[in-house]
Amino acid sequence: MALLEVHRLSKAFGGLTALRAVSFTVAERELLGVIGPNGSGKSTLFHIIGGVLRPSSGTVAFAGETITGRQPWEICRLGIGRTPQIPMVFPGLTCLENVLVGAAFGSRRRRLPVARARHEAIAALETVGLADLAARPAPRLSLGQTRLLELAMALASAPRLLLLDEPTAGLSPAAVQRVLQLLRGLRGRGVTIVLVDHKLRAIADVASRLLALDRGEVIAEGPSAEVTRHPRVLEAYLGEP
Amino acid sequence: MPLLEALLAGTAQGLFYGLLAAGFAITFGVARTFNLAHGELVLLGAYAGLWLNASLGAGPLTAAAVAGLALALWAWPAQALLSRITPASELRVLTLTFGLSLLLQNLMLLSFSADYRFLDWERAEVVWRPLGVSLGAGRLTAAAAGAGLLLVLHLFLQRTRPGRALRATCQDARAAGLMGIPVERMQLLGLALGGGLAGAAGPLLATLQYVSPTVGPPLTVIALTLTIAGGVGRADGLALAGVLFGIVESLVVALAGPAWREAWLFGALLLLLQGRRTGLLRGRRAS
Repeated sequence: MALLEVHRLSKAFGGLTALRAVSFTVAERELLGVIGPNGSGKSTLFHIIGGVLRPSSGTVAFAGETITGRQPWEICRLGIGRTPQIPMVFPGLTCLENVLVGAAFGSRRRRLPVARARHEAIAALETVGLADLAARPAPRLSLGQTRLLELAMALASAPRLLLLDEPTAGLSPAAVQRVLQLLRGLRGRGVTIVLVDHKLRAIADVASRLLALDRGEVIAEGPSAEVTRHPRVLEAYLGEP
Repeated sequence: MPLLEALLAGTAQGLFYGLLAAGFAITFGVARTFNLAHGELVLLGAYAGLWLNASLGAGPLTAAAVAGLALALWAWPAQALLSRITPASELRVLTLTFGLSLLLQNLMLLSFSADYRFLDWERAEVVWRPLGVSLGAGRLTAAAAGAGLLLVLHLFLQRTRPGRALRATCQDARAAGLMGIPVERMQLLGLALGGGLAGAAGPLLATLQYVSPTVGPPLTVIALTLTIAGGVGRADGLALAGVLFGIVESLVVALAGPAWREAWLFGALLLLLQGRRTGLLRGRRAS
């Protein structure tokens, strides 16, 4: 059984159709890359799966349970961790305290004891390589470190599925490589990931399968090597088939 | 002796000011804008206390408890109003609270008239003289209630699961939602606490000064000033800011006269807006 099932998802904002009957599935332990140029509907898709937006039609099911229209906090507690496209951390807290929020409130195992939540928060910081900065106030991190902190916050809730919305946006090439290396490591540990990005090469390098969107429609789906050579994908990215 | 009197009386008054600001600060945290009707909510609590006192003989503490519970119920209509404002920009919500302030002032004028009233109770005339300084029972009761409620609020925010979730929501509601915190429930809790603390402050205010439907706006300005000084989600910061503010106010009144009381208040607000971006205790660890 697929862990995530998206069925004929559509979303219209007034006269603008952002998503048109998008369907796909994500198997357990898979790393699916969702690609597409700016405005192709990638973030809208993530917002609907994460409960930030309601779809005009269609359904989203997670582990066999329909989650369409649920609140973001409910979806988090069901086991879907998410990092946003625009960095979003608690500015008055240290790195460790930020991750503790995820461990204490986002976990499927609700009411985690404080000591256990702290242990898991430290483990999440170690996973992303920020353990040395645990006591640093979150606003003092660089953009790259903030992206890693968000990843640690999502990991601390022990999600079954991670939704990562452009985790490499705005990062230097070296920082992009660090994030990709981390994703490979998570994939190796069996974490199921759906990753949105418009950096075709970077995402094709880590994803086992790609879903390509253009103007709200699925234009290609399959193994990374095939999708990156698909004529419609090349047309969407380069303007020519 | 004037200095000692200013210290003791200012500390007592300041603890009440801390309570006055606590409800405003929490409401600001969850609604992300100033509630300009805060002073009127305090006055609704004051009139509830005056009614309880006149009809049932309730003292200020009983009246504060009942008025606090009653005003906590404002959370439901407040959240319903907030949820209907789309997009929920800060300016729109600010305008809404300004309109609410005017509406409540006029409804109170219609219901209670413009007469000045005072909560009279059996100990109203009792005066303690610690270190030779005269402190009325009303002021000491308001200070004790303020200190007690601020302590309970501090423990709630720092030590309990809902308190921590509320603080996270005050810092960033969208991030809190992504982390599994039920944001709407936390907003309702914050509004209930805000209304409840404002309501509890009302009967205590009526033991300190005469109240009428039009004395709300200066109360809102005091709460706003202390929130900027003390920070959001920090009951200890509000208590410290309240005490500092109360002492300086007492000194200003003792040395320059009561006419300078409001001038000092607005001066302090202007200075804070120029220089302070975080609360007095914001630099410390948050949990």
